[in-house]
Amino acid sequence: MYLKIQNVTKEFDNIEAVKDFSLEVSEGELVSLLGPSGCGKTTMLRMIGGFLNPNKGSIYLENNDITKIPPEKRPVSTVFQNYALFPHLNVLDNVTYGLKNNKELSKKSMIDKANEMIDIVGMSDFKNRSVTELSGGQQQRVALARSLVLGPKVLLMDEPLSNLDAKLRLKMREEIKKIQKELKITMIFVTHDQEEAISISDRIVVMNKGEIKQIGSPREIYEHPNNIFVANFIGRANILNLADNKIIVRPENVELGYNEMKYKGQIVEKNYLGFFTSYSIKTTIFDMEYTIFADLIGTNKNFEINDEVYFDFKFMHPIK
Amino acid sequence: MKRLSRGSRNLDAPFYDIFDLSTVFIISGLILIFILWPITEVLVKSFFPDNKFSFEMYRDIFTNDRKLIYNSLFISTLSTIGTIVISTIIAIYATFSNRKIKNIISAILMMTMISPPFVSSLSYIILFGRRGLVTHRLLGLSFSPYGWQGIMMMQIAGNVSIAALLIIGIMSTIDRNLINASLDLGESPASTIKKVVLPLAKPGIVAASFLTFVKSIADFGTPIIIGGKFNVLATEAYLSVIGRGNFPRAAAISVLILIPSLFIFQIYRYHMDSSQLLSTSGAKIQNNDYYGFNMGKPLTIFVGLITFLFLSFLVIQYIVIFLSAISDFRTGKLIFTTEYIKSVRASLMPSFFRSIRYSFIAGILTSMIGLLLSYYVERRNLKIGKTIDFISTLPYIMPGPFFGIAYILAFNGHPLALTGTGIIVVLNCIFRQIPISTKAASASLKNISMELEYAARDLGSSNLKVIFGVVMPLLKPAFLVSFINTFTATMTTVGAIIFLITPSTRVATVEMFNVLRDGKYGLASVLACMLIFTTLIINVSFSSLLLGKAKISKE
Repeated sequence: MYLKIQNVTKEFDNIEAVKDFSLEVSEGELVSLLGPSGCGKTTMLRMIGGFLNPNKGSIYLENNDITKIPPEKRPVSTVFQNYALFPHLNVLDNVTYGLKNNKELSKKSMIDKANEMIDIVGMSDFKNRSVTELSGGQQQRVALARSLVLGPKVLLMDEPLSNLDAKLRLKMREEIKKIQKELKITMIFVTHDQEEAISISDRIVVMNKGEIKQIGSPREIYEHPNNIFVANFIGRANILNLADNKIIVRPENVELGYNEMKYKGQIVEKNYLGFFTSYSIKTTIFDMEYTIFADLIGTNKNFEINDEVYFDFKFMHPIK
Repeated sequence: MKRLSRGSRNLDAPFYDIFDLSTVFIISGLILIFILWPITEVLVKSFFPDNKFSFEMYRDIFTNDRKLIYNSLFISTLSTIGTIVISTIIAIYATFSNRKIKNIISAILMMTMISPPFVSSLSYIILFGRRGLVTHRLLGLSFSPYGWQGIMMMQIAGNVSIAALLIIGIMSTIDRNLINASLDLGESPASTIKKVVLPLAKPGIVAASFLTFVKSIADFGTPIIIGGKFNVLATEAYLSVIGRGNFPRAAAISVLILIPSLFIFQIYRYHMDSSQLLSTSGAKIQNNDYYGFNMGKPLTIFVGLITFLFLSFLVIQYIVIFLSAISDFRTGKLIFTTEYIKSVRASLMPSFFRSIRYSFIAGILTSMIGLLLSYYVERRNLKIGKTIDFISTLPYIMPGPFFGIAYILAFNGHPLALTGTGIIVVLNCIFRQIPISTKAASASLKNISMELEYAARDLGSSNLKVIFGVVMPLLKPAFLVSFINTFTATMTTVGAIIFLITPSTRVATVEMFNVLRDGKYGLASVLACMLIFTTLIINVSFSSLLLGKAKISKE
């Protein structure tokens, strides 16, 4: 296995920030660590980067134990949340910064390499600018180039999109994905944004309170969550108790109408959200009261609060 | 804030290499030797006067010199109250004036901050003394202005500047919308000041009170110069050392001076903790382009008048000193003379240049030690970090004479016999200013994301390269602030180093104190002008450097 994390635990002041974390990543794969703030995802990333040492467990890269290797010697590079560009250096100097630590490179090949990478991230016009004059998106590109130019075996990204506005976030997301596929980089991507994780990742690791809750492809995670935490964290979920089983129904899988269907209830809330409308339906199923969420796309069906409606579930998924 | 708490605030490995280890070892050693040890020596000496434990020194002071304790507390309390009242009024006026007036007020206040002590006393004596320009020459009077009233006035005059600047600093961060909201809800301007402005400015007011009290209780110079027969503890400590060489007694008095300071410091800490929140949240949303706070006519006139009178007093004081440096009015007329300048050139120039030399060395070394110290305390998981940080802030609450006497006691023999050398003077100035330099560096470090260090390391930089290639360049502004502060403090200090000065290590402020005590006011004026001029040039030139750097440090 290319990158292998084995039973890693990290404590801060006797509190376990990461508990028994194991993960295997293949070469060229993009894996996201997803979870609410404080779930340990950044701590895990810092351990892969070498900034923190695990209390227990090991990290292997191409079968070499890198657990104890300091960050400056680790063939792993990080793009930080705030980009961490050196404010006293310009764009080109920031990108060549890491190359200068390689004594074997000539000055010319250093600058050639840097220029090539600056080109790939589309910043050629800003080479001599001070990084403090750049916008958030541009800083992000420079940070990416600065890491990529070193040809790291694994690229770590720590919430790289969280400081950008909504439009730019979508654009950069696609570009990062494109560059990652083009250069075939193995990448670990930390985010708390489920949509971001779903759109960019080959696989997602959902974390909570330091523990892995589920590992899987975006589709597996969304459509077959293993537990209630994952179901609730990725999108919204109706959770029904049937005997000893819990059943998950996504709001978009609820069918709604005035004609008779399996269940009956009353609409208690309605939120118009543009391309869909979200309803809350008060109902009783097998003697238990629920408030069922139903998301209806388009406006061809329109219900009002207090309406008596029928509904059914198009797709259900049991949790073990 | 958020970015600091991500993952961890510190790098996991406190020591990367031999450089880290030796730097931390050396700095910790310096802090222990030059701060903790001297302070301990004072306590030991005061309780073991003849190497045997005894309360004798304290008993003696409490039975024979109770009057001194009473005088000290009396004068410090009055000075503090007076200083705070006046500086709060000035702060209110300055904060709610337009930018131009605010800048002028700040500039005048800054002047006193960079002046040597006793400037007020000097001009006071020239104007109102026994042979004073106003009292004797103009009014033909011959009365004695000496006594506690004089001390109080001079201490107030000397302390208002720093107090007012501190309070202005906090008051300016108050969100104007809070004031507008209060007016909008029907409070009058006067009660808005009372109920909104003053409570929110409390951190500044409390800090200013603490500083003023410590400075005033530690002040022995003003009572000697214009106290007449009125004596205080600090004078007694000075006379015990300089006149009688009675160190145990001086040590005991120093401890007595320290006790009320510690007490006030506790109050200060208590208040700072509870109101810090207010001041920082206020600072975030400040919107001070709007200065339309109309206090109403009577209040504006009252506050403005007091500010105007006090600032005029400061300005007149400088004019008087400048004039008396270059003229002679003993005959009743103003006659231009270069007599004083010549006599300073003849005998006092070495001391003046020594002052500059010491100040430069102290400025650079203090900044370097302060920066490295705060870096290791803030950024590395040092087990001893907190302890060292605490010890390094102690000089901040030590009254000057305490710290001076501490150095004589600690370094007058084996293993570090430094008394009489210039090194001890410089060391004293360095470690006296370490707290401020460390605080400046810590504040800057908090604004430099930990991620920058991670990034540099991640890109393959060695430990040394991270510290000297990334962290230190970004701390340049803190270095400059610390340098300016230490340089100015060393140029103008008397309190601690007067105990350490020998004829071969005399500095300008001590010379000034001596000629002032001997009644040579012309010479004192020339020295005062030279000191003011030098610190002014350094402050202005280094501050402009700082402003140039401000752009870079922002990110």
